[in-house]
Amino acid sequence: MKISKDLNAASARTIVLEILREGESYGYAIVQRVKELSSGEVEWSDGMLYPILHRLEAEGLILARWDTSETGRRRKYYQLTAKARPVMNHDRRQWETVHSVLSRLWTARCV
Amino acid sequence: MKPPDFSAHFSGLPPEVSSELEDHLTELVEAGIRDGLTEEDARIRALQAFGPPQDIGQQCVHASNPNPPTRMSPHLQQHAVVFGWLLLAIGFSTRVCAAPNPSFGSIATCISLSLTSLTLSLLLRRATRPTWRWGVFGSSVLFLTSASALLTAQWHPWIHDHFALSPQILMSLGLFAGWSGGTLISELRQDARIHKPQTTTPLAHEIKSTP
Repeated sequence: MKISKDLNAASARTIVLEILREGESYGYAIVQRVKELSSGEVEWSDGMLYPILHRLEAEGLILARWDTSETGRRRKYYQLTAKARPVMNHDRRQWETVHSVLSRLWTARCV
Repeated sequence: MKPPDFSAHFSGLPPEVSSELEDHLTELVEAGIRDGLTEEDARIRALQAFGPPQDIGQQCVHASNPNPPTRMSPHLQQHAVVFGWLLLAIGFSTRVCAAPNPSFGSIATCISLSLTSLTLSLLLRRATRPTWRWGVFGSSVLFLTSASALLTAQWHPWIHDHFALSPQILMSLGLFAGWSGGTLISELRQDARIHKPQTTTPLAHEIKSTP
């Protein structure tokens, strides 16, 4: 089952922030982590991640730094800022509310 | 192995953005080669998985800087333009009312300029982005025309007696018209750059030629 484009767009920002909660990362690794977590069911075009990362950076929720990768190429790494924590907690409550509503509806239908 | 060169896909983008996107594409090519693809096939697969690099780059630029700090906010610009047109409308009206024995042609010209100014100021006040920009553009052209007409009319005896504008006012009018037109044109150019269709990029060609 593939996740629809609309749901991907709605959830991408939260997913990126939650992956960065695990630690500093970079674009390619974030996309790989999404594939791994969803067993390939969440399919992002790799490029769609970057405007999200740049917007989060502009909003001050993540911080970027350039470093040299193990292959010797310059690479941009991202990490969360302190400003991101309350935003992420708020996002989480919203998604839990949506999840809770849907769960109740689906449970009620099964009874 | 020589790293693949994607620089043709990132022309005109800031180096920071293109470096980051190129790094990702290179990772994808390397992954493709590890999966047993040839370098060229891996390159094509990487571009397909990534999406149009130029579009994505432009989106990054826009996302990083949605409101360039060097520019006045669009709402403030809109208010300034509306205010300018209202001033012009009031100026023309009071001059027509105050002038003794004006000719029919002079009254008609001044009333039409006043009404145009008033109508444009009302239309611009009600308009919302992005359509208001075209209103500003149209009004700037009219404004320049009016200012030029008034400047030329300085030599007409009657207009010179009753409507002569001081060089300071004429200069202010010219500056206002130039500024409103200039900001509009630069905004439109930026929009055109960001939303430029990418059908002729090398990427489009490569995707079309993919089996």
